[in-house]
Amino acid sequence: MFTYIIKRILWMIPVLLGVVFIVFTINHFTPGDPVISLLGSNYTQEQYDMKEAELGLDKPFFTQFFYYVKGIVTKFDLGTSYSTKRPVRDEIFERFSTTLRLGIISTCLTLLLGIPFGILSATRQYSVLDYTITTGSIIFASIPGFWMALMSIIIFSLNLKWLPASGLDTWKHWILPVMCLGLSPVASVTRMTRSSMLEVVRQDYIRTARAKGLSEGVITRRHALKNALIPVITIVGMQMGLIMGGSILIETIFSIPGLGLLMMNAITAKNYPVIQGCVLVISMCVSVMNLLVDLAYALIDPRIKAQYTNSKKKKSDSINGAAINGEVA
Amino acid sequence: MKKVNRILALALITILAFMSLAGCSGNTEPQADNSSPSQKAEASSTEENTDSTESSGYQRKTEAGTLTIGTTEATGTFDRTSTDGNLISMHLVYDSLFEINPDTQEVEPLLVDTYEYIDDTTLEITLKDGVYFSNGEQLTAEDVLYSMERYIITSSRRNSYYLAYDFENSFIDPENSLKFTLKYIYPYGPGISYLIDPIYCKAWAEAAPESDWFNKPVGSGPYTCVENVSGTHTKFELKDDYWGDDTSNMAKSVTVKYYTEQSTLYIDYCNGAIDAAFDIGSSDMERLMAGEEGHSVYSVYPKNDVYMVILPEYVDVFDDINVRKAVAHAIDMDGVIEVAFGSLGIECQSTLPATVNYSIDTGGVHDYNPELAKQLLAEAGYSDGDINLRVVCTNDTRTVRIGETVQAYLADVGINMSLESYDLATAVGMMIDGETDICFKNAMEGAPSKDPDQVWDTLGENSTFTPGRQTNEEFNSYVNTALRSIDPEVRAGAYAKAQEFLRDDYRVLPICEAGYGYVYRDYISSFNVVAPSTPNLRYACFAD
Repeated sequence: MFTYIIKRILWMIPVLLGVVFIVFTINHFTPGDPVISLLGSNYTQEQYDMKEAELGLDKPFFTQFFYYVKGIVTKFDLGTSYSTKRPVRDEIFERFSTTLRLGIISTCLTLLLGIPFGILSATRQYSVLDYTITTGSIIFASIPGFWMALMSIIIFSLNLKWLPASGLDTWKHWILPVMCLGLSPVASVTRMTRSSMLEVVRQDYIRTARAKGLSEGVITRRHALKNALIPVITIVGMQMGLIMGGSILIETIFSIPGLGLLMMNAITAKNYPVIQGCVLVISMCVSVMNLLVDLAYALIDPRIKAQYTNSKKKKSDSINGAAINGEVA
Repeated sequence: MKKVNRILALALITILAFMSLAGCSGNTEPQADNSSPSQKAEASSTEENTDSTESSGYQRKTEAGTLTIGTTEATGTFDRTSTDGNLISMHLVYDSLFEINPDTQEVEPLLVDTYEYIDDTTLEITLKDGVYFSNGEQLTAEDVLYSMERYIITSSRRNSYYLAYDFENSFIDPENSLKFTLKYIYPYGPGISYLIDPIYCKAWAEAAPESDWFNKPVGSGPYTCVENVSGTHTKFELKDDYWGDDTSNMAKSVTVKYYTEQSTLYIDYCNGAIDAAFDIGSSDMERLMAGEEGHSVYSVYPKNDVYMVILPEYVDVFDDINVRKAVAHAIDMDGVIEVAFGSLGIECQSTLPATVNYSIDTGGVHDYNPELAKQLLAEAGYSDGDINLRVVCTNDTRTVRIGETVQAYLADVGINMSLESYDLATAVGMMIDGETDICFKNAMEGAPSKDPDQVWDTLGENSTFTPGRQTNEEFNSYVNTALRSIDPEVRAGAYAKAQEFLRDDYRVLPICEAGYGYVYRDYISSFNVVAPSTPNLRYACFAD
């Protein structure tokens, strides 16, 4: 297992290198000159040349890329912001914790609502409750996050004056952004949990468990849920990655100084180091998230855990009686 | 049971349809009407709160003695050479040689004790004694010259304003560290109204790491920065030992909060989270004008800025003055103002803002007369569809609306115009490369001065901004005459002729002056906005 984790971490390196190269290339070959963005519309050639040299943009493409990668590898130096002249690393990590917290809390909300709703919907299939949950899921899946954000500001901040409209100063400030970020994925998780549970509850071992006289609650919690969770974990992992990279709109509307907003401002201003730094950090987060999802599979399903371990251990586990008949102990 | 389920499903579908319709209703911003080019562009109704929210007794929610202001421009750095944004912070931490008096809006000495022109290229300045920076260092002439040269050393966006100074031949009096001589390259240079940029402590500025420029700036101003949280807020505390004005009426602490959206800025103001809001949107300004928020004082401050439609010299079709006249009369500028500026548009009298020195009334915008426009095009030999223009503009909402509205008006007289919008860097690069046939431009980018030459810097004969460059000898002779004289009468006469020339030449068509909307609570007794369109909060006082 440890070997598997190390291998996955090592595989992240070429992936991140590829991401950095792609973003670097896109930045440098798309229209728009960051020097003009800094100098405005009226400048002399001398000013242009000075600024270009200051930013290191006068060097050939591969030279710039080499020094950039060298800086990352040796000192984790992500460069200097063109607009503020501060290290990009400092700017990103000041904002990263905000986006991370927002993402984690939103994901927790998604799990707290999505999984129970999915279970209820599956165990009471074709009931009023099932239809209500399904309809609600469709509604929240259809509503764009930015619309929900604007409507919630109008209702809760402007009209009712219950909650603030911007910032993250107190716990009240977190409610609306978390709600807007977390409710849409609830629909996906609910639907996935529901369909997964429906598939599991039709299995023979569930019928056997009922025949043995176990209560529905015990059957659901101890036998059905664990088997149904694997696709749900996949969805949640994907959502977490999407939240890290896609919270731009929510951060903009609620004036939350997070990574998404930093990246959006950097894109507008052609602030290459910040763009590259943000993409790199988000890619790292997504890669780590994927790794954690794979490890979570192993926690839930010993068959998958067995695949991650070496062949001797695999043989030993199968002799010791790993999962049979598809049931996870 | 099946019947119950059917009824429930129907009810849910109805609710869904209702919510979809509710989400689509109303617009908060005026929209251009492109479907009927002959009609004046109309603004749709704003989504206003029809219930009166005027409070019967306002309960202040912010801390007494503190001033919290919201704005849309964050303080990324306290280095003025690196930024045009958030000068609110600069005013609090730094002093300048001269400042704009908030009551008279005139340029007056601040750090300067005396100044005198020795000859037409030499200005002698003596600084005030007893001025100290927050690190204990005393202000000397060396700090001033360093601060000015820094714009050139750092290849700042603003260094064009400092290229007029001959720093090599400027010198400090060896017997008086507060006295120095500033040399200009051409007679009288840009004038004293340019000298309103921050003055830094040289010893600190040369040694400070970049992080200190972000949150530990050293200045001689009345406040020190105690906290700067990136993208969130900046906090300032009043100094006990400020060398300058009496600080007893100034706010003990000031917090500047940053918002990405003007709407949330206004909502926070209404909810009492901030005492003042600077740069509010036009629809929110209309709500204030309708009296929806009590205990408020609001105004629109002109930006020292005129938005223009420029017909570039390199576009062949505009060589004919009849075509230029046709374009001028084809566009209803009142309609453009209504769509793009709303309540923040201020009627202009000339291509120079009324707040700028030597601005005269040249009759404002050209008359809207589409029939005359068609006639002029016919006289020039063009019929419907003969003229096809490609226009590139920046993708900010206001400029795009200007473009779309102008496009509609020109289509009405048979001129086809395609509009492409890009981010600032891309659009400006394309414009400089001459890829736009019409340019929508505001006159200034962060220029603080009340001098016309800063307003018109993109129109100069040496301007690198290709669409705006005016090479006409007559126009440039007027401008150069004004630049090289310090006599107000000579300058006034030359600039008047230059403004009249632009009006009669029909290449630079003014739209309007734009303003910043701002509002503050009535328990603030004094709230002044000065050039460059920034609240100078050192003069903000509380009534309580």
